[in-house]
Amino acid sequence: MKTGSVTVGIPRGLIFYDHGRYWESFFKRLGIKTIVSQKTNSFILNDGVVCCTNETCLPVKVFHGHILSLTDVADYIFVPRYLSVSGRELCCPKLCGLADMIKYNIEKQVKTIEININTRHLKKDTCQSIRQAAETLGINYHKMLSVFKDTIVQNVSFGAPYHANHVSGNTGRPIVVLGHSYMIYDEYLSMGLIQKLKNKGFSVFTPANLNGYIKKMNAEPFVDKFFFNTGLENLGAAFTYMNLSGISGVIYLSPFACGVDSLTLEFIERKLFKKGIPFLKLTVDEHTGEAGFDTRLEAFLDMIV
Amino acid sequence: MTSKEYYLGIDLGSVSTNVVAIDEKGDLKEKLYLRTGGKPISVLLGGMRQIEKRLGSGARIKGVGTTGSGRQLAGVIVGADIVKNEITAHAFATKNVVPDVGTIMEIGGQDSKIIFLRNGVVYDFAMNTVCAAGTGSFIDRQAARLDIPIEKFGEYALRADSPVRIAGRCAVFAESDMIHKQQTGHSIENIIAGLCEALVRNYFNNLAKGKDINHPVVFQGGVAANVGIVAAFEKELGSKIIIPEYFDVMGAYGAALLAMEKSAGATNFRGFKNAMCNYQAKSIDCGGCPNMCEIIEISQNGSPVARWGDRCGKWATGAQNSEVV
Repeated sequence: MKTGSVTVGIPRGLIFYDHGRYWESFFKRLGIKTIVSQKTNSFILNDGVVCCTNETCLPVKVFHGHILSLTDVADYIFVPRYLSVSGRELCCPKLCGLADMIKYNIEKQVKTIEININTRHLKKDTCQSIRQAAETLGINYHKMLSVFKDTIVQNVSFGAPYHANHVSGNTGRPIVVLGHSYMIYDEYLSMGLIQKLKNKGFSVFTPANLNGYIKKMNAEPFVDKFFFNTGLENLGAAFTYMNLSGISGVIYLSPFACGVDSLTLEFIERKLFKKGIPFLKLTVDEHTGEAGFDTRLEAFLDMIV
Repeated sequence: MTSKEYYLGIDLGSVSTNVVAIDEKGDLKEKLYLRTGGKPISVLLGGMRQIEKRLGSGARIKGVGTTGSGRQLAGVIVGADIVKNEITAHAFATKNVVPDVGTIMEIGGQDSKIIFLRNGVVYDFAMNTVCAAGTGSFIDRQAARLDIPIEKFGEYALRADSPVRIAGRCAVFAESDMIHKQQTGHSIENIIAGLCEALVRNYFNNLAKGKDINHPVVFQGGVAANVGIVAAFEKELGSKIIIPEYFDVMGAYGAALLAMEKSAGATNFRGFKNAMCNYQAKSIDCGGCPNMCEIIEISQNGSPVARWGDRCGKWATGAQNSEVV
């Protein structure tokens, strides 16, 4: 296939909120057109929920919906396989198995471009997947590898902020919003949480506003030995913000049934409680009614003001 | 001599709709506890007419507060001065009755809450998450299944001699567990007592999560009428719990107190006559974008007075003109 005539679809879900722009520039530099799926909406949610197995978390289901929304407009759909982005750490099992889940959940044949990110066994796994992707897209393998090094390897290991300037405002009372970036920045899944807080006059801070290294150093009790990288961002951010003065409260937005959150939340909740910092855990699943969500949020804001 | 000026509090909940009237000293004068039964608007309007009759013709309303899951709806229909979430409303009411309260336990129809206070200030709270197990609706349903009037449900539990163990984590599991126990010959009293204990266990596991329960503990919400649950709570806590006199309308009471605190003379109250109007709610599927929001439109005698449910705000702000339709 000739380069330039192919379009690769990038689903707006999961790691997109952290690394999407790097992947966009990866394909751009290879001369491949990309199309990012639209923001999560009820169609995407419904399609995802219907085709995905019931036991996964909501963001994975939504990711399936994003893929389905791209099948008609893209020749290939990019599904990264994030196995490990740093040292001996692993990504959430659902990110590791994402490509397989998609293969079996989506009956309609989806042509995917699959690239492994694996710092544990970097060379072999990753190179092999790049070789295959290069072959599929008709691009020189060595060219793709060098672009990969430039755009991806440089950037992925510290969960770099994608939305750092999305979260802004420094006049209101500071409040911290924690959660996976695919939860807190997805306006649909987060029920507009960040905007709601801004409307109430708060300055919102998220893990993306902190330097990756600082977060790692503060990610107690897992400093230097974190197993699931996916929780490190939140753990590190919580314990960094905790020691700053003037934080009026911490809100953790978690998808129902997130395994990693079930652990990190406990650590965070206990520590913040001891410190006397108000903490609210908000759990969302596929309900669209915002009443319960808003009740908890309003009560929390009443409490901390 | 009785005061003729009142503040109203309305708690439009999933299972019950409560209306209270308090006087200027904050004393509760009238209360109504009605079943919402899936018809929030007509129950609310009926409640307003009843309260008007009870207060008499000379009554003047100086402020109205609404709370509960239907607080927004109630707020639009009656013209509220303050629309508050249930947690704040409950805490506000309880502080007024038991000033040194340490923990408030509230079990309502669809949700249960625990509120922790220190020196009269809320410092932590929890609500049940996505699941309604262990709430009033569940007990309601079990009472109906066993063909026992809900008012008598708790008394059965007190007559138990050896409560059976029921799985309390999930309402579906609990129900099948109860059926199994009943088919193996356990008495209904022991099963009901077991259910009460399971509910309380589930409540502490899900909401309190090992946090310190500060005393005094106040238990309120419709479920506080259930003596079986009260006994199970006292057994679990190893101490007495306080049940306020108006335990079943504390949310509405709190809303009334909040309205009294906020109101500075002028009120948005639309008057009791307003309750004679014909209100209708309809849902509209907006097709303006892929979000496909479900819009709720409230109309009074045919013309729309409020809309909500949209993510973008074009319906909510366009309530007065019909061009968006």
